[in-house]
Amino acid sequence: MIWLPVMGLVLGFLIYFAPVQLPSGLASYLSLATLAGLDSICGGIRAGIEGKFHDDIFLTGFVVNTCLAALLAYLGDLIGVDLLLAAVVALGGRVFLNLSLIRRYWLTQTALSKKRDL
Amino acid sequence: MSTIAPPVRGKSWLWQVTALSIVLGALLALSLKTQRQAVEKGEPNRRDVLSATYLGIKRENNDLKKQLTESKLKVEKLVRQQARGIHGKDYLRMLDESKMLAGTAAVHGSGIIVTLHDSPKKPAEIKQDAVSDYIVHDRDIRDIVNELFASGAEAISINDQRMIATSSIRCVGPVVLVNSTQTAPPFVIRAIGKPDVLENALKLPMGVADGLFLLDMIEITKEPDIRIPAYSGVMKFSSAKPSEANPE
Repeated sequence: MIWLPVMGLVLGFLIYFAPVQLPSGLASYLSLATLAGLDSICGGIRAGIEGKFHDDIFLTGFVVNTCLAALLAYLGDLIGVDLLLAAVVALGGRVFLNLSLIRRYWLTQTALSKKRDL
Repeated sequence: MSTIAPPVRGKSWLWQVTALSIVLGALLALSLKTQRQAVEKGEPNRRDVLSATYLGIKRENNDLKKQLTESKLKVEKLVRQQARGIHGKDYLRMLDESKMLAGTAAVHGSGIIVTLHDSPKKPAEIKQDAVSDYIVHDRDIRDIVNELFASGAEAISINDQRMIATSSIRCVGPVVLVNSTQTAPPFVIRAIGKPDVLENALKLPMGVADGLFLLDMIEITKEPDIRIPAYSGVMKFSSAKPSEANPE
């Protein structure tokens, strides 16, 4: 079951081969938006494992975070401050936190199920 | 760990996460694509294109210059073939004289070669105006050319740039523009005329080259035969037209 999001990721990635061209000036905003999206997905998986998953929070979180991150970077470009870095640090930290929690839950779960089997 | 999540009731969250994963994947792909595109179309690429264009234009320029020289030679040959009879010879002589005067014909004859270079001496004090006295300026060249013409020089070139009626000598940063072509020291000025007269004109006490002699910046050699090239640029008259009331 854990493979479903990964499959989705691969499926979405297929757009790489579509003849879509975006102006290269958008590159940094796009990468930040991607990071925000990754953060939301990790947060969603964690919430799902913890049983606290709320679909409205997840959906709005994904959309708003993604747009906000890109907007923040744009604003930073406008006023000459690298707000991009602030967003990268904050989002990166959250991604790592969520990933470590997911890993911990998964490990304890597998350990428990092994114990049950014995 | 005591807070293990209870078994999730229903897997609906997984499907939602999957759906947004697709979007994330698309975002990732677009980001990657755009990033790669930005790298490919970035600075080095533009520099390559520019340098290639520059080299191409330079080569084209050189080819055109060669072509121009060939065409000029062809025209010269044709004119000489056509000039027959007494009138023809007369016109040919007039044409040659005009060309020499205009600087569009290479000439040779006795004259002097003046070499100007920056002073080998060191200024006593490093001050802006003191240092400035020890290097050759456009005004030094201009004064010398003027003096040479005044003493009867018939043709002058500076670093193989022929002085013509519309020639200019001016300073642009570290180099000097002669006929809008950049030249740098040493400046070799060739002048055709009477060698002794030309030399003495430059060596006049309180003359134009006094300061240059003082700082070892000028050398003059008399030559029995020197060659001065023709003006190699383009002559374009957009405002001036030949007058109708020409006395000749």
